[in-house]
Amino acid sequence: MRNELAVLRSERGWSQARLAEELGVSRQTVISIERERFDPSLPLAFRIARAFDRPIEDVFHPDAEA
Amino acid sequence: MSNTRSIAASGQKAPAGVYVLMSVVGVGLAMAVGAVAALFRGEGGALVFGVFAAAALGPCLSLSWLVLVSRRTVTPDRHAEENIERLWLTNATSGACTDTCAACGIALAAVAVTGLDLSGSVALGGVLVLMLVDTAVRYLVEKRRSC
Repeated sequence: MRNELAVLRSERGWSQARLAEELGVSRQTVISIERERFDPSLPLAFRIARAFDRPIEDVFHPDAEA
Repeated sequence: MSNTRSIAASGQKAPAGVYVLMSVVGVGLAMAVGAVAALFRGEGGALVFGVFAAAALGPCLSLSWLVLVSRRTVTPDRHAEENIERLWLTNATSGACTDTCAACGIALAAVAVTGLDLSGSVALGGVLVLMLVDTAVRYLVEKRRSC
């Protein structure tokens, strides 16, 4: 699943550690989501969207074949 | 902040009586282990009791802390399962389980063919070490792939 996490985080000026703290997960989790090597759980995806005040479909996009 | 928060102290302390109970239970368990060892081994009863009780004291105290104290002093991480580290661990342990099953099957066939007579402690120790090392290696590989 593709995502705009790195872009949105940069717009906010947040570090990966700050975002991890906001979400209640590890920094490595944030890094892996940004690199699109880990798909977050649905609750975490909603928390991410809420953290940036965006609808979830603005943050996450299904792969072309999905 | 890593997912080690799932085992982080909450800053709370248990009542003193709980720590006393933990110590009594831990020492009691260790003495029970020593007594069972002395009973089954026969010779050198007092020495066997002392050695096994001393060796078991650390694990028994840890076990009693886990059961009696940790629930009062450790706050579970509500989001622990959402961390990638949990996925790494799940993948590592399931892979290690499969590897151990295969290794046990191969070892069993080898023992049957060669007629070797392995002691139970050697066999069980080997299985345990294999699982732990395999899990650790697989975890590191998972971590490397994600970085």
